[in-house]
Amino acid sequence: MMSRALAIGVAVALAGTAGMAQEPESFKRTDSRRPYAHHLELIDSEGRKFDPRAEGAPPFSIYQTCRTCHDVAKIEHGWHFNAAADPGDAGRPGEPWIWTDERTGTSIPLSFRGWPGTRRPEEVGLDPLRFLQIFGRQLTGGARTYAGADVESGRFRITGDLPIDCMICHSASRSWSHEKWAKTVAEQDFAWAAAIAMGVAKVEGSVRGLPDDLDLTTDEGRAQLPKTTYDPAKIDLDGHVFFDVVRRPTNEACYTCHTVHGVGEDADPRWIRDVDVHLRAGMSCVDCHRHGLEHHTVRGYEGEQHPTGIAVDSLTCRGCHLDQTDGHGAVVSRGGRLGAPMPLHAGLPPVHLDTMSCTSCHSGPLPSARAGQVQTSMAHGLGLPDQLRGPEDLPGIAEPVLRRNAAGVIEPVRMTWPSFWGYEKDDRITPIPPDVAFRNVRRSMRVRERLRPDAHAEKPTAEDFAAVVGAGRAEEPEAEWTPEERETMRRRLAERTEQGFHGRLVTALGAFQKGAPEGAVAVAVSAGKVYRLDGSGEALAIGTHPDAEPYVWPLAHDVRPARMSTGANGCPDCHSPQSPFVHGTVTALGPAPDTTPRTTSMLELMDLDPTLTAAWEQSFRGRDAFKVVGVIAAAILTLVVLLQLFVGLDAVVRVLGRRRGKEEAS
Amino acid sequence: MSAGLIDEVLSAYPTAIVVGLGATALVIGVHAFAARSAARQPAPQVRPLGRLAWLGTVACVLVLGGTAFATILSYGVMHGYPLLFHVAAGGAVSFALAVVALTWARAMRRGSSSRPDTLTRISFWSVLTLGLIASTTMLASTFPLFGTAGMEHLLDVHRWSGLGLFITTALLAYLLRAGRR
Repeated sequence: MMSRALAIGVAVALAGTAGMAQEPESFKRTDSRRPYAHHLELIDSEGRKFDPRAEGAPPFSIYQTCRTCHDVAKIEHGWHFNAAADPGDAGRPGEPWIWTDERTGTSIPLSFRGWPGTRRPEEVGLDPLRFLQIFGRQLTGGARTYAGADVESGRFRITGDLPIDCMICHSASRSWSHEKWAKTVAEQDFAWAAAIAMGVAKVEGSVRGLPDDLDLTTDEGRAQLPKTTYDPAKIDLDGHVFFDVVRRPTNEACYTCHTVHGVGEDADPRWIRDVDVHLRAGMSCVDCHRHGLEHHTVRGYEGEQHPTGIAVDSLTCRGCHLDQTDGHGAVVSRGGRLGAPMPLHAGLPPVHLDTMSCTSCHSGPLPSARAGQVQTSMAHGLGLPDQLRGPEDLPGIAEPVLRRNAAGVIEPVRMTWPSFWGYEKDDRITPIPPDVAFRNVRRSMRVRERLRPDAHAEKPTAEDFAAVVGAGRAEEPEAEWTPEERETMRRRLAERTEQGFHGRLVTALGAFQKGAPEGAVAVAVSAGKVYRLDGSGEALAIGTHPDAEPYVWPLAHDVRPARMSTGANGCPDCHSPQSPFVHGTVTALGPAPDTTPRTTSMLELMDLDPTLTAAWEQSFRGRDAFKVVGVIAAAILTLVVLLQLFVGLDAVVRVLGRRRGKEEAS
Repeated sequence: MSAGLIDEVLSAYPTAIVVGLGATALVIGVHAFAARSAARQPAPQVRPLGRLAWLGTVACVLVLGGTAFATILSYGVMHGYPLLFHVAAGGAVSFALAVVALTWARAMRRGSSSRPDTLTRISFWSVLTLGLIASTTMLASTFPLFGTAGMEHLLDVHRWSGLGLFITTALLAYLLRAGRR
């Protein structure tokens, strides 16, 4: 009976639930500051309450269970859930989903929101089901509203819907498991994900191996679906389950999807890094990134338009810390929310506040000579235990990178370079899906597991030792070499590795070209470069293309304390030839070995005139002397003017005195 | 004076540039025409260093005005190479004005042997006073003394005193030149 109910529920999913929309009057509030204790009856995807203690109980539907009291139909149009449902609501470009495949070296920024530089998942062969399997690990649900899935048909009949899961953000219990959620979604067990992640149930079996055409109208078909068993310890005497719900999500809930951590040889170890200064001050993420029932989370950038029409300017850096004035200097919105201190920016010419974002001086790691490398939850699946995760994993993301945005304002961003195999035609490069590409790549590139620079790194030969350190020192450990000898050997091996890679690349591109569409040219994209076969077909031609350019998105965290902001040590923090803010560089990251990677300076990315910049830097070298001379000159001027003033006053006094004398004489 | 009225006045700066420069040119032109056959005043007795400093002041003020007014009228703000040249000339004019003050003050006093006319004396002391205000406002902004609001006020004072400096320098240069013909 319950299996039949489950099968019907899985089959109709949200279409049925949409037809049973709750009336607004049924949505409940307590209007109390005391959190409501959510001891809830579980409801299945068909909208029917069931006893979890019963044999063959179905997986509960978080959507149906929560909508008893809450307007989930409205909530699922919130920012984290609405990419497909509200496509016009893209806002400022943000972090994309990045489809990576280590075997083929593929790394493609994706988005349903149409952000420039990203591709829609379906463009690269990712249907909604596959998208959910790959990225559901860091998705808060929303198969229909986020991924645009038709949850009533196809394989979704078997997997069930993956609705928004409120408990990902609103669970106060540390027992909510990100790992279980990710694994369950990857196995296509969508309907079971909420129950398993909450830890209230276990499931035997998986949807993954079931055929697409499984007949769920028969007992035999339904019997193949996973079996759900609820933990009796989590069920109270009334058959209710306690949902440990908080109104305001904890920071740790946000970190599920929004963790960033530095990797690479330049990165500080975790215990050295400080949290955002706002968190250190006792604030939480949701103090700024807030929303109402509509769940349209404020992102906090200037110019953000909130769909409710409510002005959210005061939730930006400037809006919170500074008074907002109109064109005539009248205050229209006071700063100081939540006790935000007002920055004086003493000695900073106001032009900086117009041409630079607050984040350019206050956010992210301190600029250094080379941009660092980071991994993020969305891109690298942080939060899921993995002993193989390393700094070389795709995608490579650099930060901080300072650039001038379309509005002409300098801001810090994260930058990632797409890499993929593709076909170039009519000024556009279309990626080849990785599983298709692997058929050629495996043989021609001799890839076993990962296509990356170190996978086919050349080892030193006797000839190398003889050339670098001399044959007599071949047995000497490298630690005893000079730095120059180590660098010479490294460069020698890198060049040979690159040559070998290029040779295999020619073979691979030749194989791809055989299957190319009419008029298309097979290419490989990596780290901002496009590799094509030259006219002879036996060598590479390396060039550029707009589709190979990096994708960037602004960063705003972690915010550094005022004393660690750029400029806290004075003007030379930026206006000096050694300034990493201006003269730091960012090197393109990609899976292809490259001895001459594209390296760009922040000066170029910020669109600064090199001559003018150098002139300003030189002028600041003599600034202290100028101040001394200036003060002396001003003092001289002041004394001369005052002297004349006193002389003039003296003349006035004498004139008045003579007139007084004449009056007395007369 | 209400804050709104002050803002109205401050926002009229581009108009003030055009009106001020135009009025100055008109006054000089009319005076030159009217006084073309009048008796010439002898030039003030000033050391060569003083004359050199005065020439330097005029040159710097020309650069300052040219870079400021052209960019303000064209773009509303000053940036890039015009700003760089403006800052360089500003530093030079501070020094030049101090030398001018030391070398010309005695000659420009009432009752000096040079007997400069009243208009010339008023122009001279206006140049020094406005130059002092214009240079001191920018000198103060190079120290971490004022926050953003204070820096914007300093900038407003600098703009208006700078316009005044340009006008009075032009006037004084004409009067000194006219006296030497």
